[in-house]
Amino acid sequence: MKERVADPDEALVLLAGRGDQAAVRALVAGKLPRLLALARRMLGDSAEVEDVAQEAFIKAWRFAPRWRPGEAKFDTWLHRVALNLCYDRLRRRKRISGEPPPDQVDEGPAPDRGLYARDVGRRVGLALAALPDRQREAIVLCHYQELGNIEAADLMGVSVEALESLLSRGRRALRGALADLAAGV
Amino acid sequence: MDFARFRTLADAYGGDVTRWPAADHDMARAFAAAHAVWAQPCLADAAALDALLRQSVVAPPARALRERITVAAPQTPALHRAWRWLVGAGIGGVLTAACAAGVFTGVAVAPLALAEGYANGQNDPANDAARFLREPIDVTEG
Repeated sequence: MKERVADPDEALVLLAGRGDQAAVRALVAGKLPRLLALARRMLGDSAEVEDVAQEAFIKAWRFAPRWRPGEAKFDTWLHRVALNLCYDRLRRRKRISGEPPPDQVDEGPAPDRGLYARDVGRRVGLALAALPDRQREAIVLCHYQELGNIEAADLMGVSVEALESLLSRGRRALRGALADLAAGV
Repeated sequence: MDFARFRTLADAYGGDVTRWPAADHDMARAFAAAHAVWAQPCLADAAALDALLRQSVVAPPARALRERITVAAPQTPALHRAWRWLVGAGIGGVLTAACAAGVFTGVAVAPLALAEGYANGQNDPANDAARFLREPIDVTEG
């Protein structure tokens, strides 16, 4: 028998499904910044980011009246929906551009990229965007979204060992890309 | 926990042991204390990258986006009832206004038309009576 999943959002989702506007506002306040951050880091600075967040919530509103408590955490489910929407867009971009997905981006420190050093956050964003999608997803879920390793691995459909491998390779690539900044932090 | 596993965890999850898998916390702390000379630089190296990653921040959601999402949420039955009542009240209001307009037209325009008719003799009841008296009664039928 499947174990019941404890979900801190359960009561709010059930209320929102019945149209309770306070619960709706609480869910939007709690989840929208997380979804927006997830989409922004997966898609970069794009108009698609807001579309993904909005579409994910619209799916959540449709699903909320039929939400079955204990089957899954709402936050995890919402992440899955948003990630699927992000991957739809990433695939569309690759189809349009005709470029194969990058399988390894580990450019290492490059002195001529020093012009970006004034804006560390932007540099980090660019380095993240340059990662292969799965490495970026692993880092976004574990580091930025602060999901546990089992939850993140489950979301990505990989083992915990595979998740750790993606994280290690992603972080190694980031360390290389941002090596010129590391000393200044 | 051994050196390789400690390094793997630091490489994957960063320099803050509290963000490592919960099952590894105690062993990792004990290992770091026992091998501080090796473990502390390993954690510091990972923490330097963590600090860089924290510099990437995402702006909070725009108010317009929050509102679009909130408006799309399910409505309570009470709100639905209120909405239906408002729609009904709106239709009722339109009908009431239409009736009121009709009554107003009747009240305001008819006397004018009558008055105009009176003025040229078409609508004067007295003329109708006079016409009735002037016209011969047909007695051949019946």
